Amino acid sequence: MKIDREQLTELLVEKSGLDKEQVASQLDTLVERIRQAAREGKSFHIEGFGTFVAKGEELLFEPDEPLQTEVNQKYAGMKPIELIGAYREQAAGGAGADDDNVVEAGEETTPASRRDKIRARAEKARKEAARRAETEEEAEEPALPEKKEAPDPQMTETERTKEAVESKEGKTGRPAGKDTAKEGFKMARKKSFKKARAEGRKSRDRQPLSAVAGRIVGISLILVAVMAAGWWAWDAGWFEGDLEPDPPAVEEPDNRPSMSQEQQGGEETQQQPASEQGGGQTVTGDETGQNAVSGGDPAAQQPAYGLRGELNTQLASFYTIVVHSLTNQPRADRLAEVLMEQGYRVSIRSVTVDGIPYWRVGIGQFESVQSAQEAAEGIPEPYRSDHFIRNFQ
Amino acid sequence: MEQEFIQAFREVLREQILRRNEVKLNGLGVFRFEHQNQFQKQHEDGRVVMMPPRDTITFSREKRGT
Repeated sequence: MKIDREQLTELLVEKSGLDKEQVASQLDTLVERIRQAAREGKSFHIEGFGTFVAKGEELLFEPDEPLQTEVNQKYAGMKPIELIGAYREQAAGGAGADDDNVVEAGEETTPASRRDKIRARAEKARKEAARRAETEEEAEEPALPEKKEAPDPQMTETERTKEAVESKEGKTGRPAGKDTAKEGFKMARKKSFKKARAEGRKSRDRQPLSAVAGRIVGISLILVAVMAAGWWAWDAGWFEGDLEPDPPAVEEPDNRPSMSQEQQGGEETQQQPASEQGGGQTVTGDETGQNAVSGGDPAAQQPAYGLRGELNTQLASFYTIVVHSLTNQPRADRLAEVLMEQGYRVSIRSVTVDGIPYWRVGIGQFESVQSAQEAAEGIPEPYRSDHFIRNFQ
Repeated sequence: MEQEFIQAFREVLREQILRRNEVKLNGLGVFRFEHQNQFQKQHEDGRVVMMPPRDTITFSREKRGT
């Protein structure tokens, strides 16, 4: 709301108790005296209200302290607060025109000793900022040699510090600082681009190496596969034919696995399971070639049980070390002959396991399982590690 | 000038300014109430201060003549 002359007059009349004309004339007189003082370059003071001060063409008004305090009642007692943490930001961007507009009230309320302390602290912080800026410049020197500018000998320490801080903060209004920053960015981008390109080239150079490594891995995998296949073939007995004088025309690939399979159930089968006995009745070994070899006087002279010598056909039941278990009877017969030539007591029995007929080739005749196990410790490889004990009847 | 008038003048202006009213004195200028927000200032020695908000009286001189 705006109070014009009429309203002001009414208010003054109401307040002073004077009549309207008196108030109007008093008001005109007051205005005229103030203007007069202003024209003469003097100040005009109204007690309890304020002072009109002429400053050139301007007419300023300074309220008296009681009036100012009353107007500013809401914020009375609030004093300027020093912001320690904000110093650096302000130092980087602020220095310059703003300093001229510093409010003096802050200084008036600050004691001299405190001011000195603050100044010392500010100086310290400024020096630290300058040192950091210099360190950064030095660090960037090898990367950006053209960025370095020769220090102006005429420049004062403060100016240099300011420049360093401003260039560091990037808040400076100076075009030179901006250019430096831009150049820095450009150089950094170029550098990173070059680096990336060099890395790309390196990776391209490295490609053949990785290809070689891949080949090596592939070859080693193939070798492992071949070795595994060889082991499997050896385990299947494919190479056993080489040991024989006359290799069989057809070999059963599952000879060995079937033996291992039977070996797993060894403990039970030692007690003569019914499934084995079914085929076991068809004794072929004793009645075929082996009896032709055995028999005669030497058999009567040797002990009833043993690993080597002639097969004792008088024994109705004995334990033997089964070293071959084959589904191919001719092959089993041939292996038995080889073993007999080596001096072992050899016997062959036919059994049916899970519907599949096997011919078991056993060496030695033993009274007990224990004696058979002890004897098995002394037989050569591969029989020593790949055999099982069975009771032949 | 009478003392009653000066007293009344002082009180009326104070009241009106406190009510945020502009008071115009013909041939002189306008008195206004002004609120100033808090702001940061930096002194020449580098220290930064936060100036508190304040309410104050401002005077604008009338443009025509002196």
